[in-house]
Amino acid sequence: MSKGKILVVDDEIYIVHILDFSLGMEGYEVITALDGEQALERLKAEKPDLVVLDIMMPKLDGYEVCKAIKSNAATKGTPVILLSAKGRNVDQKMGFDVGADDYITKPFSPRKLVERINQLLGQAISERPASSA
Amino acid sequence: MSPADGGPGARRPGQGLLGSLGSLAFGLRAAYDPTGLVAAVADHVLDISRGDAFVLLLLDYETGELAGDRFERGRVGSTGRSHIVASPSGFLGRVLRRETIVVVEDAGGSGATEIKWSGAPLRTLVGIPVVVGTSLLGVAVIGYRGDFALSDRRRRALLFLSDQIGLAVDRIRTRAELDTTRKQLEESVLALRRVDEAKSDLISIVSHELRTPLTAIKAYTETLLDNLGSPTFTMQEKFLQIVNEECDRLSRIVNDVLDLSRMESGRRRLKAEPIELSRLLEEVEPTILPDLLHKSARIQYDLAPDLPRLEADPDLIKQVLVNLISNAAKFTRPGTDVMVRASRYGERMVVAVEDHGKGISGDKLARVFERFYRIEDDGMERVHGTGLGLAIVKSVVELHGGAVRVESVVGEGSRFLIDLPLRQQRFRQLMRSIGPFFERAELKLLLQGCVGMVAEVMEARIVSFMFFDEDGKELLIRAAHGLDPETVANARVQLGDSIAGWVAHTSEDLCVEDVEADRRFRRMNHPQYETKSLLCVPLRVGGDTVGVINVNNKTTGASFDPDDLSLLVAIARRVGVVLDRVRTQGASADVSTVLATLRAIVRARRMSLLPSSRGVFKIAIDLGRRLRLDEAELEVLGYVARVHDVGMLTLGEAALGSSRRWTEAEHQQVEAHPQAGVQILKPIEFASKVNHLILSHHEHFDGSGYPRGLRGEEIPLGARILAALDAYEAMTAGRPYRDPFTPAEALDELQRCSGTQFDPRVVDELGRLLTETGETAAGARAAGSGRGGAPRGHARDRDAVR
Repeated sequence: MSKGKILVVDDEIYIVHILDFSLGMEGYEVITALDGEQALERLKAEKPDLVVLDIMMPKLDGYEVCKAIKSNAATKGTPVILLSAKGRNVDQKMGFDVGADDYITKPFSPRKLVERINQLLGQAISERPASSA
Repeated sequence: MSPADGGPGARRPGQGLLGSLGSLAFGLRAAYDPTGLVAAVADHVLDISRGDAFVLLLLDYETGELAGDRFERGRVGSTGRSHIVASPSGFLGRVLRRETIVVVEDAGGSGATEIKWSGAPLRTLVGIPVVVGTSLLGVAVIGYRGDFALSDRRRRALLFLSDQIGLAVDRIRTRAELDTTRKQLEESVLALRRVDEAKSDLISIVSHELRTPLTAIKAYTETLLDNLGSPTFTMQEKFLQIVNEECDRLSRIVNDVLDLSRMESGRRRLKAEPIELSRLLEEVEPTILPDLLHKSARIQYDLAPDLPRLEADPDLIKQVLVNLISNAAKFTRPGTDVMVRASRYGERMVVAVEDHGKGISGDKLARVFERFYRIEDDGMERVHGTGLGLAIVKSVVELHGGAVRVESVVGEGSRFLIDLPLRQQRFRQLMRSIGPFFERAELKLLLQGCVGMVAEVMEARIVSFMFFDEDGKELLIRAAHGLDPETVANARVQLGDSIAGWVAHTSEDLCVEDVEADRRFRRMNHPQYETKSLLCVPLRVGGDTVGVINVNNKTTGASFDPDDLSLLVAIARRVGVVLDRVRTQGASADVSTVLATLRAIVRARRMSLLPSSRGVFKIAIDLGRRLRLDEAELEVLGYVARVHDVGMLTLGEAALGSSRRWTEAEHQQVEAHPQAGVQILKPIEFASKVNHLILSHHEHFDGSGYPRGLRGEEIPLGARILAALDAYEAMTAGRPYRDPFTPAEALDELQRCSGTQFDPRVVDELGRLLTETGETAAGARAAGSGRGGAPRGHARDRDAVR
């Protein structure tokens, strides 16, 4: 049984692969997108429980995607983790300003990312009694 | 009443004295440059002073030259311009030195002929110093056809007049200086800001680009480690492959960034040779093959049958082709061809690489040659390049004097074109213009003069100048000092090989303290070079490296150090300037003047007029460094410390070589030696800072020195350092008629004059320096004592112990 559905968005295919592997091992169902536009399509079609989002991507960047998620009533409650090589304070601040729930800088530890996802989804799931985590 | 009362009234009708003064005052206020000022007031000055001729000679601080336009009664406008280097004992020299009015009667026959008047002969000349505050701006000269009696009243009136003019000149100059300084500052701030922005942009982009592979490496390694013990984990090989690939990518990025920055800084010299494009393409194809196979694409060639050889750097052009073709392979649609065409257009070759991909839209097309710019494509697997490929293509092609272009039709494909000159003409032309230095007798002599000067100033037994051949591949010795003719004739060094080849290729300055211990060059030393220490610096003409200067075997047997290198760099620049000036002036070049300068430096050093190496030079650099001069200023100071007293040669060998005290006339020449030095060095000098230091090294801290009476911080720090060191050196070296001072005694003497003659900060620092190096210990012999006991005749003792 899946612990939940996670959308991983990154234009680096190897990053998508390793997150697919790590989250899959942890019991999550993983769906992927390689750019911002694809991410929004996937979001609409698959209704994931959480989004892991790169910032510097072609077409639509991570900030825009995050803004779109948080301004839509249907997806507003979906936690978003920004995962970016942009490590300056202003970048982080901008991430939280557009509504991100966490901001993790690359290079990152997959183990810690999984822990953080468990934590965020644990909270979200405990607020949803119907869930079968 | 006229201030210059007496003579017949020559004032314009209807204009009284007040009117004249008013017009004068207006002219003084309104003028915006010194030339305009003089033109505006000349008439009024002649009017008020009742003079027949007038010239305002302003002192050029950098050359010590006096210059100004001449005006004569009854003639409209200037009658010509005078440029004069005042002889210290002459009329103008007397006005300048005494800073008082000097009147010469019977001007025609008394030697006051420095100014060439064009009108009727003048009987009386009145020279008035123009002084503002403590600085001497120049001399105003008023000439009379008749006699002129200088009453007290006239003296006061003339001084008043010259004061007014001086103030106006000073105002104009200060303003112009401020304007220039402001503009320069604004420009340099802007330029620095642009460089800074470009740098931080690049750093943030590069660090992002480096993080990307690093992120994959970190993520895969950690996951691999976490799953090492797990029996169900079967991805080890796959993960390690990815880590390996990303490590390669990381090092590719680092290499590309380094290559690019080396090329963009212009440090890389082309190793150009004739190459056959088809040969190069054969070498390139295997490296592209994986990309082609992946796409089941093929590469097709369309090379013109009569394609000539291309003169270029084969390694760099190969990299260009790899980058362009592998790019095309990545973007072309599966199963299509990548096309490589080449043809000749006159003296150029154009190579085109075409793909059948999706094409690039107009807005992106303009940016494809930018560093790290990537064309993103729908549904296409992310291309794992460094993002620098096309930027490198552009740099390499431009380094060859070529151009890059890209054309694209969306939906059909893109075509990248490189347009290269068949031959590296620019460099060849440059070398050809230097050719006469190896052929024409007088220019060969000039080159030999340069070598001799370098040997003398560097105190080296062996010096050689190596120049490229026209193809820029080989270095040949074209002038040498201390080498046997056979070595000179047979020495040939390939670009990139051995020490000279390495310096010529990288354009970097090199100081090797021990060639046998230096792993880079260990095997290259020649038995002829007895000492293991050597210097080698690029010789540049108009920004291009045309060869190198090798310096070996210090006469003292010691090793060369970085300060020697910095001195050689300063001298090499001057040699480069000499070659460039003579080269561009062609037949009209004044070779004999340059040669005279070079010989003067050699002669002055041989007569021990110029400080020896371990004396003033070394201490000057140390002192400059402690007093926080920057590296550029230290280079100038080191060079000036070696050559600044060359002006003493005007004194003549009779006076310099004798142990008698000097006559009054000789003392005057001594006082003028800074200006004379600047004049002698002028043909090889380009930096005003050098002239400024030489001209100011006999100024006193309290303003009582010469030639300009500067005081305190107005005197450049380098000149203040030289002043103290000159005195110290003169005292410790002694005189034929006086025993040398011990260093401690000399330092006491400097301290006695600290604040009056010398800058207290310099004296204090010198004291500390000497104490630390143990020089002031009792009985220690002074640094920089003369060679072979030759008399070090000089007025320094007079300067030092007044």
